[in-house]
Amino acid sequence: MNGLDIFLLITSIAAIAFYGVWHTRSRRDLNSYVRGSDHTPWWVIGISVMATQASAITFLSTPGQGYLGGLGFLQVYFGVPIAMIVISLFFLPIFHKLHVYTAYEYLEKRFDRKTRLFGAGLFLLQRGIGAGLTIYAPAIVLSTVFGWSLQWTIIAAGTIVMIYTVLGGTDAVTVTQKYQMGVIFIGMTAAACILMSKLPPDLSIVDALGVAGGFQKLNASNFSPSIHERYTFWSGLLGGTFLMLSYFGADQSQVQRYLSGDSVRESRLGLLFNAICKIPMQFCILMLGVMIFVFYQFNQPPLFFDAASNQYLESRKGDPTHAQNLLKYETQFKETHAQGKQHLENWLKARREKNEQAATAEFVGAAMAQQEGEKIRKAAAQELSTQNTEIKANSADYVFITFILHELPHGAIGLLVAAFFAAALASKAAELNALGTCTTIDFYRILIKRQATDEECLVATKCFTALWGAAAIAIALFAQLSENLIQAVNILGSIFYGVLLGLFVVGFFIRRVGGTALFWAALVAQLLVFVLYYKLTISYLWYPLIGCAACVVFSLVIQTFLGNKENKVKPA
Amino acid sequence: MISADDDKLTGLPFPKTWNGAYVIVLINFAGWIFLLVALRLLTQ
Repeated sequence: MNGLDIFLLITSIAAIAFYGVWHTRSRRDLNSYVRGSDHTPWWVIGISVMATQASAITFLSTPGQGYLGGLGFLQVYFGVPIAMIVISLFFLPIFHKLHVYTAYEYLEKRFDRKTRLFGAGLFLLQRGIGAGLTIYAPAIVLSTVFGWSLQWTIIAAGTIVMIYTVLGGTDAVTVTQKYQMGVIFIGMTAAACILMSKLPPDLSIVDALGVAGGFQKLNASNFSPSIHERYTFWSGLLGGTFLMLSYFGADQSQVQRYLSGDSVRESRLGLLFNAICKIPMQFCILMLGVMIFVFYQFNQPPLFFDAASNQYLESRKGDPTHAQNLLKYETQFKETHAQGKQHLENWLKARREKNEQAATAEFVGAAMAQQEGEKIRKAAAQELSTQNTEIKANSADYVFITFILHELPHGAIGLLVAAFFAAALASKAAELNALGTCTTIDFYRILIKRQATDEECLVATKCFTALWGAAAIAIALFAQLSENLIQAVNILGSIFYGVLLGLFVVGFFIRRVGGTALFWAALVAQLLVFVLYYKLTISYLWYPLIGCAACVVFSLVIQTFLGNKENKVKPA
Repeated sequence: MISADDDKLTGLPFPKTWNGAYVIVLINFAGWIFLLVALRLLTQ
């Protein structure tokens, strides 16, 4: 990064943060701090919901998913449209009618206090860890690539977001997210335009799609019935619907976003905006990764994408005893890539000459060379981990940043890094805001100071937001991930979300179940999900469905044993 | 507060009712599935 990049990065991030603080300087009461200004238009709510879900991990790691696995990951989002409709129909009117600060207040109104505390506790546990990952994930990638200190990158990003979230509350989160999404959109569009301009001049869009399709990168609809395959149409549609229902319907970081609208109409339109836009947005990000894959078929990619592996390889180049095997792999990889490239150029030529037979033969040659290249990469990664056990070659998270650094001009690099930071701050701010609110409304006001005034609750919310910010920084400083970043976040959510959703499903639809039955059912269901997660190898997308179904079934069974005397159904 | 209008009308020129809005969301989703299947079949 040069001076221009650093200038763009610092000014865009700082300007948005300062604007957030300045814009919300007059917010002095609990209602406006927690619920927002009450006149947030639907499109701002829509952007805010989108920005909360799309963290830096989405923009850093998803193109890598596209590069390695193609469009298959898109199936995770097949549940979004259905989930948004269900939330618009059932969840939203109830939350608005009850005029709640947090979703978990509903659980006490419908059941009892312990069920509310259990739901809020699950949220705090899951989202508290998630907030650490939100800040750790981009920091580990950016610090490794740019040589920054990981600790200071985490502390700097964590502190900026903590300051403006504590000072401005929900409104600061919403207004900053609007501009942060603008920076992200400009950055990603710039990257896509530059990428397309860097593809070979004689390669048309149709040819590029032909290359991607030939290498099986455009398979976004896998109808396999296997529950062991991670991404299928069915796991996306069924499991994904439950995952998204839980995330958008029972996670306070999202509920707080759409409750900032002054009417059901604004909130509902904001949600439906996401129902329409989420799949195209993820498609574009994954497609960017697929096109980077096509780009690297015609341009030499590095043997390892991740910075730590490359730094190790570079540092060992003067040491023949250690480097011999790795350098051998690097040479083989380059030779194989050159063969593949030649086959693809011949394929293009045969395609132009309408020689189908030759085109097919050349493409088979290119595919074989590509497979051979991947084998060499795997063998090199294995060799690397035997030489240095601390390094684990992890390509997916580094593909996009490697492309940015090597292929984009200065200025665009700064803009993209600013986009990653903007995305990290946008989702982290929403998480901290929700964590602070939930701790105050669902725990402080119930367990610590029951007669707390609104002023005291406002001070408490600010203090808890700051404390959660500090906790997230601490978690990030000690975090270590073995999974691809975006998958790690989704897996974490899948383990807790099903049961959380189950609490609301029973509340909305099963009137004969009371608080005691539901509380114990939720506890057992959560334990069951933990056990299944460690015992089974099924796709993580099924766990929200399993958790929710287990919670519903167990609550009905336990209620039958308890009888109707325990059931005190309260009107919602 | 939920008004009767909030319950039925979107307040947009199109779609006017919420049911219409949900149908558009579902048609959009079905359109994407169709496009993705077509993209897969056409490029293999």
